[in-house]
Amino acid sequence: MNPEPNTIRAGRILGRPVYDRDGRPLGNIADLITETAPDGTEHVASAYVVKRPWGRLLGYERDQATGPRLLQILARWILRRNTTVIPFSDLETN
Amino acid sequence: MKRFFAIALGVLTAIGGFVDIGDIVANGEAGARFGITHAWVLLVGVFGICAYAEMSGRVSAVSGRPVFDLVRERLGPRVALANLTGSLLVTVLTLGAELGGVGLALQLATSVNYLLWVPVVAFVLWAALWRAKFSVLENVFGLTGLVLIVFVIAFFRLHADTGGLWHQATHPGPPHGEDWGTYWFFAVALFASALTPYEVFFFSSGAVEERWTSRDLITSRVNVFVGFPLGGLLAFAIMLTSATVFHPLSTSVDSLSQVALPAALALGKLGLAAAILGFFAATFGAAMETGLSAGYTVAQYFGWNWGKLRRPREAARFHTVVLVSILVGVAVLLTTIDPIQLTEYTLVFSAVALPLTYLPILVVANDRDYLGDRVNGRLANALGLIYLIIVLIAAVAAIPLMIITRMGGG
Amino acid sequence: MLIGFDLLDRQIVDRDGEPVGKVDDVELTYDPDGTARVTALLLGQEVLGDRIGGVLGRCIAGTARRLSGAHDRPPQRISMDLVSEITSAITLSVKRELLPDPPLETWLRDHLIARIPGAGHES
Repeated sequence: MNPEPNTIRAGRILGRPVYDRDGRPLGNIADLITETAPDGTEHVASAYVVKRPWGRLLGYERDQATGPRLLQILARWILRRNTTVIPFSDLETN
Repeated sequence: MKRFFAIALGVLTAIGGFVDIGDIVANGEAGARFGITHAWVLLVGVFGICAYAEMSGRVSAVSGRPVFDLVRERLGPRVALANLTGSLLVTVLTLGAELGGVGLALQLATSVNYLLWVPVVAFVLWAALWRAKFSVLENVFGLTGLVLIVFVIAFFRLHADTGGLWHQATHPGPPHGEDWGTYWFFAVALFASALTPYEVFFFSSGAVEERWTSRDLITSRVNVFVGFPLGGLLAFAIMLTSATVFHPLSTSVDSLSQVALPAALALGKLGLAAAILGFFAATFGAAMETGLSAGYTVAQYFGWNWGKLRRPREAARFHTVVLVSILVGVAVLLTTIDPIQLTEYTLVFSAVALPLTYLPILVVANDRDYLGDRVNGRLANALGLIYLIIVLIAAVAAIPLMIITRMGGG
Repeated sequence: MLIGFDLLDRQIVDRDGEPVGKVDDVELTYDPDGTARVTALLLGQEVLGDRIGGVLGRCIAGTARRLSGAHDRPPQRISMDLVSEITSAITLSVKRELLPDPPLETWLRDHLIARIPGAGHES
């Protein structure tokens, strides 16, 4: 089972740790944000990097989830403190 | 009459949840040992399951998707797999216990040992799940289970000390001979029995089997607000009659025949026959519910085709899981473990599985992508949050209580 | 769109709303200029096991491979141009019959379920 050399599974990227140029850990890749290109396909534009190994964000980073106040506040507080968005092109895989 | 049958799903789910073999004996035993000082626990449980079943029914009706589908989406595959494994274990063990319970009910009626009935019952169960229409199963077992109303009637014929009973209900706490440890152990067990995970999964999958849409929201709510309180009432009636007959004598209850005794005392042979019929329908209904739930949850985790509304050829993996679950249930029983003891263990473990079950339901019920403008209002969210906290406390307390009180033996 | 949230672990349904499976992973293809395009949805217990990772993941992937016989068969792949809508589920523009059957379903159907009388009737 040899995948083509230029394909990769999203599962391999998600969860991977990210370091800045000086080697300091910025967190793990929690999700990948895509944008629609003119030809209709989705291109990966940036990555959500979260400090805590949070895994699933329960969906509270979107606006459509209004949730019970308590859970929403809890989730957004955690996300705001520890999230950075990094353009995908700035990531180098190693 | 047709309207009456429309609530069959809610009634069946509630019966399988509130008066399965474990609950029948737990309520009987609680009544005998503690009087009705646990009445408030059943009330709290009814409110909780009504809140969450309403949310699940709404999510399934509006989005067309069963609730367990969404557990994997929201919690991620790893956590959802833990959830699946835990609830599958509880569900299959409960299925085994229910098969034993049906056997015990038949033993009461025929004096043939329950273990001999088990393979027969298992086969009939599998055949019913394979071929009988979902609506027929709902109607027959849901409505026959309501025969347990005989315990309500029996109570009124028993000349109970209503003043003393009212005092018990309004003063929660262990009576003489019991301590707070065993009191809380029974409280947690009775609460967990009201909110077992498979109830919600079954109800929401049933909603999809019935092809409910947004126009059926009222039907869904009627199912919930009539069915579950009715189930709670039946459980309470068993606790009540047991408290009336056994508590003053300081005897304890640990067998199905003892639970039926108050009905026999009050209404003679007819009462006993009604009680046995009710036990049979309720435990068989619970066996159906747990058997189907096992299939539903596995299929919905992996995204397989599922449901009785499809031809078995097209849902082969689903039907295989149901078949294997029934076989495992039979195997467990053939180790001659006491079915009633088995349910008591599974009740404790299901208490532990509750928080992970209910958290994603609460989250999804607020998501506009799924429900549009039918998301939770403030009341639903308030109830949802309160019960999430209660369920968390119960989950944390369950196993320590079980160990400290040695399964409530004290 | 978020790949993890909007695509992964979502239910895939066909044109008629029939379940096809879950998105167990997503295939990304690198263009010569380095951008990654979302090209396909990947399905199957092996794919899921690989993504879950660890001992548990290897168990799932391993049993799936053994049950389906072939050891080096590529995973079930649905190209992104078959996707018509992404809402609470991912809707395809084709019917389920046009996609390859999942191996476990086929095996169980042929060896077990179809042999029991009544397998052709829904209830």
